[in-house]
Amino acid sequence: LKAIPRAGEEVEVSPEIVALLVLIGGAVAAVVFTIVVVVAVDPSDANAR
Amino acid sequence: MSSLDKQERPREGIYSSSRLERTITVVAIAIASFGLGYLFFTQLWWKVPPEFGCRQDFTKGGLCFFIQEEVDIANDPNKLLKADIVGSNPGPEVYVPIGLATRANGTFIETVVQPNIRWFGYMIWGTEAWIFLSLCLGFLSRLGALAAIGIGTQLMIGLSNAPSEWEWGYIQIVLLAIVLFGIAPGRYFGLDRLLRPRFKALSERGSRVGRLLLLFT
Repeated sequence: LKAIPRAGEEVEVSPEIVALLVLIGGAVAAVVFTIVVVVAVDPSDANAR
Repeated sequence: MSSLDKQERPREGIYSSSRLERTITVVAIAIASFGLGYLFFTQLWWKVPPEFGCRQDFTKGGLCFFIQEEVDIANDPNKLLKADIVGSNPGPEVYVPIGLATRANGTFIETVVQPNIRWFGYMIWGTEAWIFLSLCLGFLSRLGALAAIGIGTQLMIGLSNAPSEWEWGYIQIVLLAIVLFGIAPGRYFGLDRLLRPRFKALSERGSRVGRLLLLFT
């Protein structure tokens, strides 16, 4: 039988899962950064000044 | 300049005029970029933090094994780009001596990396993770390729003369990274296609951050 962690007991997450979450987080951050730049900056303003 | 000259002047990024040529160019660049990015992805998993695959108090195994190997061979008469032209003559006739570089690399590892491997490992892992994300998403891809040149060159100097290693494995990583640095693959298929015109706009408005980010794409 699998031991079910009790309330307050620490659940260990494997380093591989943490690494995968870091990579997914990085990819999401890159996409969000791009969306923010696309929304915030108008490229047609390039020669405005 | 006539209007015809203006029309024929190559645009930034994709120069070819026919759709087929453009498609071939973009697909080839995307394959190369994904390929090198995926190479670094595959190498993330045997040196996962926080142990980096190391055992016995960070002295053996995983990342610690390879950095020790770089130290062990640092003082050998190391050579690069070896060509064995005369088969009867032992050793290569044409090569580039890199003994000075391997000794400097070995000293740096012994004095800086090994004593601080607990946080240096994060830096190595993080840089390789960054290369994977950058080259596969086409995100600040020139910066990603620059990081690949740096890591690839360090590996080439440190490990290409190690037993059972093939020097061209490392040299090819560096060469491909140099090509991708020159091309900046994100301009063809990735997020940089969206970012670059906007960074350019920021740069032309006098933004230093925009100018810096433009260099990275």
